[in-house]
Amino acid sequence: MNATVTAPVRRSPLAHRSAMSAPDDLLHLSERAFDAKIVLRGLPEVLAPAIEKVTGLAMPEATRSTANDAHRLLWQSPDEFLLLGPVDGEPELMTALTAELDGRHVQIVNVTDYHTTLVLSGPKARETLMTLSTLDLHPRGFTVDQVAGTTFGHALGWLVQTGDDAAEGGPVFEVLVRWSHADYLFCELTHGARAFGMPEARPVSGELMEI
Amino acid sequence: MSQPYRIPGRGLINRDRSVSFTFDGREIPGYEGDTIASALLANGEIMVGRSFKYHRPRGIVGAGGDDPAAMVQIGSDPASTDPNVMVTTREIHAGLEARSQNCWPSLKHDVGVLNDVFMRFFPAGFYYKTFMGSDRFRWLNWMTFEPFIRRAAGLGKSPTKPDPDSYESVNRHCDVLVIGAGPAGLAAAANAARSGARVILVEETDRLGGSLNATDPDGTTIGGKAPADWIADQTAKLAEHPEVTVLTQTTAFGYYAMNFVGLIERVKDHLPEHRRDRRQPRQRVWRVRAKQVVLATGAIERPLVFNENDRPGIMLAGAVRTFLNRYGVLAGKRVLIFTNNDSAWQTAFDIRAAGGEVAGIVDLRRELNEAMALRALKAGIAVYPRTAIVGTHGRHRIDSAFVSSLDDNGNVRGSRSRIECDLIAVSGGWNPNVALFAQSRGKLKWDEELASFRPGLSWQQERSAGACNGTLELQEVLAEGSKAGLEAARAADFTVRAIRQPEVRTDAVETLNLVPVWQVPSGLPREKTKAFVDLQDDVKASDLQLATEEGYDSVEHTKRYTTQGMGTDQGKISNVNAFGIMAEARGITVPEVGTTTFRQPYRPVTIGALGGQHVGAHFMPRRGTPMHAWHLEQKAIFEPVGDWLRARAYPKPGESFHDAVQREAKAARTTAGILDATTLGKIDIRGKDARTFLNRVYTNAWSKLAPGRCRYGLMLGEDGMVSDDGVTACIADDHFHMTTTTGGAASVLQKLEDYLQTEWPDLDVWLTTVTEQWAVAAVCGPKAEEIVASVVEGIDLDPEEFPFMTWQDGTVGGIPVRVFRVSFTGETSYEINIPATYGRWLWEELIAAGKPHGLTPYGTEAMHLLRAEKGFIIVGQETDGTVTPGDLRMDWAVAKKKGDFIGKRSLSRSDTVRDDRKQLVGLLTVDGDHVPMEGAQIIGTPEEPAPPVPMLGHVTSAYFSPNLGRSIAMAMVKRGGQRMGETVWIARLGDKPVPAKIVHYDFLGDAVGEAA
Amino acid sequence: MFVIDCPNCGARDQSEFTYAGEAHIARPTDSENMTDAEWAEFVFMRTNTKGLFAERWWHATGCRKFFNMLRNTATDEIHAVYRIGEKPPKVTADLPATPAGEASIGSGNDAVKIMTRDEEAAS
Repeated sequence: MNATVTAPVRRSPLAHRSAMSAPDDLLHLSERAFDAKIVLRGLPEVLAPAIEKVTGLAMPEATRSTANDAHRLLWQSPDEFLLLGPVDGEPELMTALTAELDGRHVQIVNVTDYHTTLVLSGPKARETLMTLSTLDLHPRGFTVDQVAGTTFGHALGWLVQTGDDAAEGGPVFEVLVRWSHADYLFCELTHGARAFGMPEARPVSGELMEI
Repeated sequence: MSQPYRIPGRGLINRDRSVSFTFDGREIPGYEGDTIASALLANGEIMVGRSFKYHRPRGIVGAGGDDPAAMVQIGSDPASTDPNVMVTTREIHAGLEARSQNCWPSLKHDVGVLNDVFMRFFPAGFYYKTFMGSDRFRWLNWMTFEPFIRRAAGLGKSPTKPDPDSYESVNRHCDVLVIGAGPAGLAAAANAARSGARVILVEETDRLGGSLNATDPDGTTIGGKAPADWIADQTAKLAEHPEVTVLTQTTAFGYYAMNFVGLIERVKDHLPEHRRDRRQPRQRVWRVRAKQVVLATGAIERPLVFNENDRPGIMLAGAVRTFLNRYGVLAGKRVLIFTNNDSAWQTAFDIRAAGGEVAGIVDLRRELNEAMALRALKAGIAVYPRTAIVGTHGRHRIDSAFVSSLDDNGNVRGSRSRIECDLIAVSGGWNPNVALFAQSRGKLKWDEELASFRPGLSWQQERSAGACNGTLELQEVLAEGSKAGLEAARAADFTVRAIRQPEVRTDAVETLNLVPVWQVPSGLPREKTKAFVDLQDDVKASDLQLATEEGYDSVEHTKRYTTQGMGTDQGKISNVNAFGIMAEARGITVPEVGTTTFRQPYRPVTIGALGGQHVGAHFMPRRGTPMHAWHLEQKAIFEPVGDWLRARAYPKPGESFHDAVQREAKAARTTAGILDATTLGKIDIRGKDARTFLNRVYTNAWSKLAPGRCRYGLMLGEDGMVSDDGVTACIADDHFHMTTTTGGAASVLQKLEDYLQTEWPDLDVWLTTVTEQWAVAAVCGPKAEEIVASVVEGIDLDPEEFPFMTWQDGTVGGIPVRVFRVSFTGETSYEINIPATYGRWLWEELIAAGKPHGLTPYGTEAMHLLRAEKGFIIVGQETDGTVTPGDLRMDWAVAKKKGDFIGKRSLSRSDTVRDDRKQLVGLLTVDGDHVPMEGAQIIGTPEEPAPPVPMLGHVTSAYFSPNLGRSIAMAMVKRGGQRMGETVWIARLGDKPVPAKIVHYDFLGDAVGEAA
Repeated sequence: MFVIDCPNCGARDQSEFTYAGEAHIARPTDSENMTDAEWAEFVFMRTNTKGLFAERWWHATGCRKFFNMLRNTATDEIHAVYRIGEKPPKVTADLPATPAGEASIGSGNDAVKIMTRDEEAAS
């Protein structure tokens, strides 16, 4: 076999978008592509020792996440967790977790390419999310490390707060959104933030639908 | 300066800022803070439009959201013009253009007024009786006449171009939502705010204070302060609490389940063009979920129903007071008061205090409050007790009223006398504004003293305070508001202590002493009495009485028959009067009559605002694959599949869609084709019981599928009908990769989770969707092996080594890929799965590698064509939820002996084993150039017989096959499997049926040759 | 839109959930021995209760778990949320007298829009 191909090119779902900001640092929106993402299904007590050993993370409580410098572990359901890790880290994580959990009733699935991560930060981040989400996103209702799978307009996503409201620059939220909804959600967020001076990103269009 | 009806020193308008606007092209001067209504009245204009049915002149009746009929068209731009805007709620601004509606050629000379002349012939239910029921008018059927009637009726004109404005909806949670910022609402919000609760205070107008803004500023103090100062204090206090949101220009339009309340905020409508922030939406819908709600929506005054009570110049007494004290406008030069209760007397006192002239107080009651009568006497106001207005005069504005005294039975006694006046201030009492309470599904209670409904039993987490609860005395209103605010905060788990209430001192009339009179006697026969109940829909007391006589007992039926309360105002001031008239006509009480339903929205809401930001490009996500941009660059034609957009065909410049599909389908069989198959649903299945699970969810057997192999499976519903299909690969003994149809991906996963979680929790199986983890390029055709070999490493593509229905792992440029040797075309085919972020790169590598071999990208249309040539079904095209595997003649895919699976038992139901069921067959039209229409009915005769036509089935798919050089079709035909070789006919609309021969549906097999 | 208290995720808007039909209908394990009528009863027949109804919901956007819910279908009042496999808790509630009656409050129907004399006397 004489396969001859060019060097692989990796493109994120929002490769065609640049980070956007509202004036006065009210809001920043960007994509953080290629984080390692691994779904772990299994009972927490089964998963816990392996995750602890491989990542150093404890299992999160319901609707919460745990994090250290390199990883974040999101609760998604009583038997489903989403592990985020460093870019290009998924092969090592998969290998290590698979080895640790060998023979146990678990499922370890690489979903690195399934989602991308939108990062929304700034004093107006909460209000912007409120244009699309029915969650209680008041600081009393949604706090650091909290996790929720919900709809943002017509897109599905997992929301996690990663940065504290009191910190410099305001709160930081991350939304894990599937590839095919990423552009819609990116544009909806800029659209929802127009009132704060955010320039608007329009969804890509131009598809010919007529014969 | 004009504005001859403006009273110096009165009102909360900003006299330093003159603002003018146009009404029917004429410039009308006013001040900042004026509504269209107050500015028109300041200039002596009281008539603004004509009524819906009789085109009678309609004037300003209310001073706020209660007005029934004074509506105008704003602007003339065909895209942004806004019909049916209430003049009493729209603030004026420079550049505002208002026009009267429902009149032609002009407000004062209207052709439709002929309806008025013939009013006697348009009784209740006229349209039903004339156009739907009566034999006499059968020739005048409704269908013919409807367009003419619709044109003559109606209110404003809808915009004809797309709305240029933007709208937005936002979600909020709060602890206490206070609706209405009058004295009760302000007290409630201020007290709730002290607890630290999240409070939202909603006010419909541009100013907090509600009824306090309409009181004589010199007559009342609260805690020693003038009302305006007290309002300012409360406003300042609210501003100190960071968790309080105050929304003015905002209407709570709907109270839904579990304290979900819709608010509509008019963000820019009241601003002149240059002050409208382009970044802000025109209107914003707030979707509020409140732990507790305080309703402080005030009371709505109701008029008296008397003869000729609809002329411009007849206004609610409270509205006269509001225009005077809030807007500094006394709407008449000589005002006659007409009432059955004490409150309207305050209007007389306020007019006198402002130096206006009162023509007298006509009171229906015999017993009058002595202190009040004395006060009137001192003010030099004539009082006519036990007297009724029995008629009015004046075409575009009243100039006089006719009064008669009443006997002990309430009948007209003696002659009519004339009182000159240009305004009648009328009050029939006050209806607590219970609309939102009723929407919340609370139960109403009939209050004898108010002769109206007020909140009775709450259903949701809300409480009513102030006039909307039937409480009218200011001291009590404040106390109730404070209590409601405290209780609401506490109920939302906050702690707050009560503080001392401010003391109210007032000389305002706060008693009611109401004697209900539902219809004021006129001394005239019923058919000569024009006593209007609903001023917008032109419903008269006599219409309601006629309806009752005709047997309409239910209040809901009477409403629909007469159109009472069915206008844009939803009968705000008129419904209780209507119920009273119905009760009298039936000789029962009002609560026995009941009430119509208070529905959302409380006031009309622009449909654009409800759509919010989810319009145009933001309407819904356009799901595209990683290769989407490439398809776009190729100018592919797309089609929506589920919520995906898939490339349907890739026409070359100048090439038609049809030709492109033919070319693509030909290439896929003769050289090579490449399809973006990313959208197929993919589910990772893992666990020791995975095989058992697959055995139960698919119709065929999975026990022996070895790792490395793939198998096609059919999935049924419990009803035995085919619901999905796809190929599943065995990765390891306990690990499978399932594919589903594109549209079925989400529902299949839900169904599988459902069975695992609820029926078979004992099975050790996990499911995770990986649909978008993988980008999939499917390469097929004679040259496919060669092309794939030049790109993929680590796989020996020799069919001996890599046979059909197996899979192997390899790499492309070092990136791991998984290749499935499956086929949806019948050709040798490789479905290459690569992590999605490399999808575009892989695609382009394949395109480049395939170029020397004639590799042709094909879209979903060619895909459909190719699979039809091979006779593969598409779930949802050949099937429609009524088709079993047997109907598809795919019994080979059903393992009857393997044990239970979803839908198995249904396959032996008496209905599913019928031998006359429709079965899937191939159809070859006798004329090979004719492609039948998909969905066309199949009949058994060359000519279409007279209906009912016996039908044998229908065409499910039809194409012109470039590879067979003729048309092919798939069809569901009764007993199709036993009809091979028979001729049937495909019916056509307006044309002769087309003959076709029934064949097996694998057209690449022997079917075509045998038919030929 | 009501709020549903997901047993795993907490209170969430109804828009996050998918309705999944009547609860406590176990899939027969011996369908081969059932008559057509008995099988049809399982596949097709549902009670369509006006009043207290045990139904299943799926938290589609969140934990993707099915759970049971007791809801008054006349008033949309949710009386209990409980897990699959659990028995419905006892509910003493103001329920419609089916088939023709109404819950005394909350259905919004004509019969219960206005307080009765008895209710007025009691309040």
